[in-house]
Amino acid sequence: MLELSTVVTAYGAVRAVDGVSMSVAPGTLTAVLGANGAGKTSLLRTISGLVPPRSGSIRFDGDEIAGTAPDRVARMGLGHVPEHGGVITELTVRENLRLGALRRDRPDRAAAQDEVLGLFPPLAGRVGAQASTLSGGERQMLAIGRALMGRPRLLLLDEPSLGLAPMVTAQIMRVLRGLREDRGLTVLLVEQNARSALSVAEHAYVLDLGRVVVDAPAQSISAEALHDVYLGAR
Amino acid sequence: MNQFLTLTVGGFASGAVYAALGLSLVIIFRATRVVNFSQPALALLSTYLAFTVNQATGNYWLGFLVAIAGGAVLGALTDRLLIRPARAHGELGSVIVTLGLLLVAQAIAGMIWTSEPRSFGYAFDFRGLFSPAGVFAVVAVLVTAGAILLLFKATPLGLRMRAAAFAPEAASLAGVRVGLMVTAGAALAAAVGALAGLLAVPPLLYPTVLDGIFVYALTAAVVGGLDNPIGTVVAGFTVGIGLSYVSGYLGPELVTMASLVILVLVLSLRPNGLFGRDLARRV
Repeated sequence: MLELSTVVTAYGAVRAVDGVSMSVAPGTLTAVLGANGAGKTSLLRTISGLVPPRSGSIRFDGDEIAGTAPDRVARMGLGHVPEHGGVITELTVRENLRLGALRRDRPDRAAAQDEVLGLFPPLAGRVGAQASTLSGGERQMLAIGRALMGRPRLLLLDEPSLGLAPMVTAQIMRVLRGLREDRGLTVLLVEQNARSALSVAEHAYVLDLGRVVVDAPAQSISAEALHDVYLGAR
Repeated sequence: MNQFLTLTVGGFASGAVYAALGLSLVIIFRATRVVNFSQPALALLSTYLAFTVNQATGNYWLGFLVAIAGGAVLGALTDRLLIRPARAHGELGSVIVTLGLLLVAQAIAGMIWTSEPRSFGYAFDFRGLFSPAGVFAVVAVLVTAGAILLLFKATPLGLRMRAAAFAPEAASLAGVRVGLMVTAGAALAAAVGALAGLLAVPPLLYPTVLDGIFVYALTAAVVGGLDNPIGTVVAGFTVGIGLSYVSGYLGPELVTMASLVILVLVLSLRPNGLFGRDLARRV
């Protein structure tokens, strides 16, 4: 579904993503792990078009999307929930959700909203509230919900557990597992919280200084290998 | 008492003009987060378009419609061709471009139509306390403000425009074409500005005719909160009535000074305006 081939993204002389190649199969949950500054966020921003790659190829369902504008990539069926969610606090919860599904007709939009509120019950009673009044966990749910409203074929999630209580993180991971198992949604999950990401992922890549240093099934990645990467032993 | 009533009603009609031009400033500010000083210039050129059509056809309403449509086109073109490239280099650059546009547009108007005052008619009879022209100005502005509010609050286009203005990156990730929405905002703002020009200009049209009105409209937009269309409309009418009292009771020579005093006072005491949210002013 998603194929990256020697993708390079640079900010001036600094290569945040340095020749990354990876593959995400349909209906799977793939984790991208790594310490701060490993290039995880830059990788997702490159895939969704927020940052143009310097070189390399990104193919989504066979179409080349490297350097394509983010709104177009989103319309092609690739949802991206950025770090800290990207909830628009000036809008209400309902408006944030609606924004994710503006291309759909009204009945489809209503059905999508019902589904999202079913996945995230804490939002159900707050659809009329200003998004700025939500807690951190609710904002993350809203951000994921908004992306799901567009019924994406591939969902990119950037650190969904960042700053959240373990219970909320667990709830979000449960939802992700359910989406993959019940609806066959493909997910590319970037996380610093390796344990929680590996608990739901089938495959994982570990990045270090913009390069893939581990490419293996999630269950086969040992604590020692992660320990080495996170603490800089490699 | 009679004078008070006359000043109040007259101020209400003037306030409609300030509210309309202020509204155009607010719309473009919401879209770009920058005060666009070229709004009166676009309004001026639109009004000259109406003048030209009036002269050629003798049909006021045809000129009116051409001015509104022409304003929208001018707004979109200036955003795409001049302001957007400057925006890429920072907010200060785009503010300076809008200031430059103001001067250039006035010069172009002078070159095409000369700087001689031209006769420009009212939509309706302007005589009497509740003149049809005054009532039309108030109704036109209130209907326009209501329509804009409806657009922003109740339509997919309005939601896209608000999302693009508040959080461009998040909006683009939701599939919104942010650049297109900013241009749509610029077109809408210039169309509303054209309406303000058509209401403000009579009886005489000349290149600097909107300069003073722009100061009052800017006062209304700042008092209302640059981010708040309803606040700006309320402030527009309030400033209109207030300045009408200053003109009537203290003397017309003090009106501009009074407007600037209001501007300075509001900026000093409530930098985000009386109805504005807490946000950084970027002028």
